[in-house]
Amino acid sequence: MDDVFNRSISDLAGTDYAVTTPSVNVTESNENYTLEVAAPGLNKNDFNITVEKDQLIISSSKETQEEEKKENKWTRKEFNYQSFRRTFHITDAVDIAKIEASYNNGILTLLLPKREEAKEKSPTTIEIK
Amino acid sequence: MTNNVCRPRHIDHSGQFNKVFENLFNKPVREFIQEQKNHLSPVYANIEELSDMFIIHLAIPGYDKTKIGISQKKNKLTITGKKDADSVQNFKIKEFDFSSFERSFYLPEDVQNDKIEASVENGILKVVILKAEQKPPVKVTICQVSQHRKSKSVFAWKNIHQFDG
Repeated sequence: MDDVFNRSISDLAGTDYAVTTPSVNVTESNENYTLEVAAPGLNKNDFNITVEKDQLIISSSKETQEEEKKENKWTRKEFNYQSFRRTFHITDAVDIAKIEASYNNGILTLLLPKREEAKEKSPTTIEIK
Repeated sequence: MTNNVCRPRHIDHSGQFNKVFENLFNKPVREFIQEQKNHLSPVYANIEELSDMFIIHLAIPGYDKTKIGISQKKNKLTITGKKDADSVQNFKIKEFDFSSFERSFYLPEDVQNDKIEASVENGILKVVILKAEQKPPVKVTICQVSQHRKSKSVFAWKNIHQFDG
């Protein structure tokens, strides 16, 4: 589901080898899903997170003009997360209105709480009279 | 933009370590050995060269600065990181797993080894390596060859030819 074609943006950096798409981990607990995006070197304002129908879109488009002005030379460029887009399918179980996001230590963390009715209830035991 | 920012890397997958033999041209800060203890998450580096310094940018998302170690032995700079394994096991998607890493770089000779500074911001470790101050070029003055020396050198030249003959 990821936008593979975004890789051409790495042409800006003059290389086809730099990683431009951040890696993602998704975990599930009874209460929520947690989505972690490893995108170091950005500010929290650089991210755009939108939900369209059943699609969660995480993107970033940091202005690179400032850096290009500098007359410095990259002798090695292996990563560039300044511009990317990843799309995830989210199920009905997620309460879209309660999605929270935070950015810390280069990891964007999204907490997707489950709807009450989607949470697994502990089995009720029925006593025999 | 420069064309030499990233050249194809020749990686030997057969060994336990990925020994990366670099094209040494245009690489002032060379990579020594890339040892990836965890193959799921290579630790990526960008290296920037300015007129008076090199800056290594290492992508270390999720690491606290207290978990990062930088050591230097002669001109080999080694950066290590340690993190406790994730306690959560119930992964739906798992693309990265930063638990521990080690990456080494060769520094060029003309740097000030005692003035290396490092900082962590937004998951990027920035290592600043100052270049050595360039000595002003020695000016060599050309003076007139004295008449005495001139005659002496001509004499020596004659001697050689006499020997040859």
